[in-house]
Amino acid sequence: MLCPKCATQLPELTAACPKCGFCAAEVDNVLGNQAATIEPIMDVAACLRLADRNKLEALLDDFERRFPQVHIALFVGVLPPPLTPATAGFWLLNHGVRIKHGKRRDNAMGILILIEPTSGQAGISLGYGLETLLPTSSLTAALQAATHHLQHANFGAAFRSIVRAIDRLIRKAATSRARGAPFVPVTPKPHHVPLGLPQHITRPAQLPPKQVKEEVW
Amino acid sequence: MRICALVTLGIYAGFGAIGFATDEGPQHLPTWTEDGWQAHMNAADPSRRLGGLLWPDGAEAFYVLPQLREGSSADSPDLAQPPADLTGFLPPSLIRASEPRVARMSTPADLQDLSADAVTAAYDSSPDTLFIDPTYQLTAHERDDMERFLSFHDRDAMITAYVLLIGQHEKLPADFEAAKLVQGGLLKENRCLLVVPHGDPQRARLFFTSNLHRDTAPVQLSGILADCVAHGASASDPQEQLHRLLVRLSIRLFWLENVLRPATKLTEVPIRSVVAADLPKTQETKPQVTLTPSVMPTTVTEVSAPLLVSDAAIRDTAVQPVEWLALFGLLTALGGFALFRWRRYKMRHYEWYLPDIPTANPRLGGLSSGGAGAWINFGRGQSI
Repeated sequence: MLCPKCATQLPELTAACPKCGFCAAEVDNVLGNQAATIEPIMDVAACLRLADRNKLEALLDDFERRFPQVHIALFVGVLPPPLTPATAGFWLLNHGVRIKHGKRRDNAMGILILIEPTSGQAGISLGYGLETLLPTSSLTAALQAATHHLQHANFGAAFRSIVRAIDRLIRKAATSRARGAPFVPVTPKPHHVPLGLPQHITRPAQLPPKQVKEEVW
Repeated sequence: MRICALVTLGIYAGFGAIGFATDEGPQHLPTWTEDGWQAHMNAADPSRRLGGLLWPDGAEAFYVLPQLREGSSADSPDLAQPPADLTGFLPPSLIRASEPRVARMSTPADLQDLSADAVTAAYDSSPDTLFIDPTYQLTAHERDDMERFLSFHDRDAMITAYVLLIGQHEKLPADFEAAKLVQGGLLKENRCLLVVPHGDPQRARLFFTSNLHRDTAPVQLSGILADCVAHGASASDPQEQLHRLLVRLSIRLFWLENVLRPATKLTEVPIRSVVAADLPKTQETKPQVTLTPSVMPTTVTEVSAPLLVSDAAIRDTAVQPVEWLALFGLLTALGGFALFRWRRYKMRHYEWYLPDIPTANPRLGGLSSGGAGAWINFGRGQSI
């Protein structure tokens, strides 16, 4: 795990970054401790065209229909100087409320894609439930694939590219079944067993032990 | 105004003069007309009329340039005396055209079988070889001429003609099999074989494949051979005999093609190498009719049984790689379309559920997220 502020490797169960002292309270001092509403598309900077917005709404609907456990939101806005997309995403996922069909979604299964057009930064923030399924290297590759669109301020195309990449990543890790079929508990795929788990979490017996570098922060 | 009036008067005066000259009529034009005296003189002396009064009096009507009457000069050869030797300039057939036509007849008693080596050479000839000369009766240049002529005929005709040239005192052996000739090239439809002794066209034999023989009256086929032999025998030079015979054969094959076209659907079979699968088939089925010239009449066409090859066999061998490529492309396109449809259906009607794995431990005081994820600085193009 890496610190969202200084990218320092964090030990398990740490309450603050040992190097920079970053914690949730530090962001709360800037943005407040109140709850915030998370919309699927939060275009605070008004950078998205209407056509892009319509396409993104359809794309996000399809995404959440295919993955009922996951919700995704897009954010484009100018952040105040102490904040970065990583710290803002950290705060939004911890204080945001996503309501769909009258029910509050669990932000632990949330994905937040943020673009800060002024500083030229883009990022993806994940909840706790998706950390082990979406490795940092894959997310970085998804962001870099959209670099061309980001550099040309085509944020609609950039969002679509990133969402499709995340779609492919989750489909590899998840198990498909026809809509309306009876629910069957999903067992993890062998090659998507969470890597780099804490020592107290046992690995399934059928898998050989692997030594893989931890890639999440 | 005065100038304009003068110009207008001048124009009217010019048109008036033209109109006056036109009104005089064609009888005043300076054309020659024959008066009565000239007509009388022309009737009395026709040579004078031929001259049209153009020659001077006393000149001959048919005037020939004097130098052509005189003897040959250094620059102009004497046309009245042909040169002694034209063999290097004209073909022998034209030089000997004035000679009496003598058709040489061979005696059946001195005929010998074609040697086994020659038969083998004829069997092993390339299927593209239309003129087969296993005993080398012709020179290479003459052989090329014949081959070129037959190839030219085959390019436009539906019926391919093969010619087997043997010696004047040779005949086909009793065990000769036409089916093996040119590596089985005669096993296809629309083929004919002319066996002709060099310098003895009366002993020529003409063989047709079964499809041609089936749809044509025997009299018509024998008429073709009789016509070709008659044209070949009209020359005394063996080379010219062969040339005339082949030219006539080409013409008669075109006629036969026109006769057969409405009745029989002549399939244009391209000249290709004989498929190797045909040869064992030929060897397994022995020919039922052996070609023995000594027992056959002069102008009878004959067809050997193995020459009958089904259309299906030819069609199987005619499958080109392009057809396989087209089939492969079609199947690939169909497979790709089916895969696209299945993927589209799955994306609309399927759901994906994540595996039941334990979540990560909370950190940094976050309830739902510990700040995991990735971000890049696209302004610098580097990941942070």
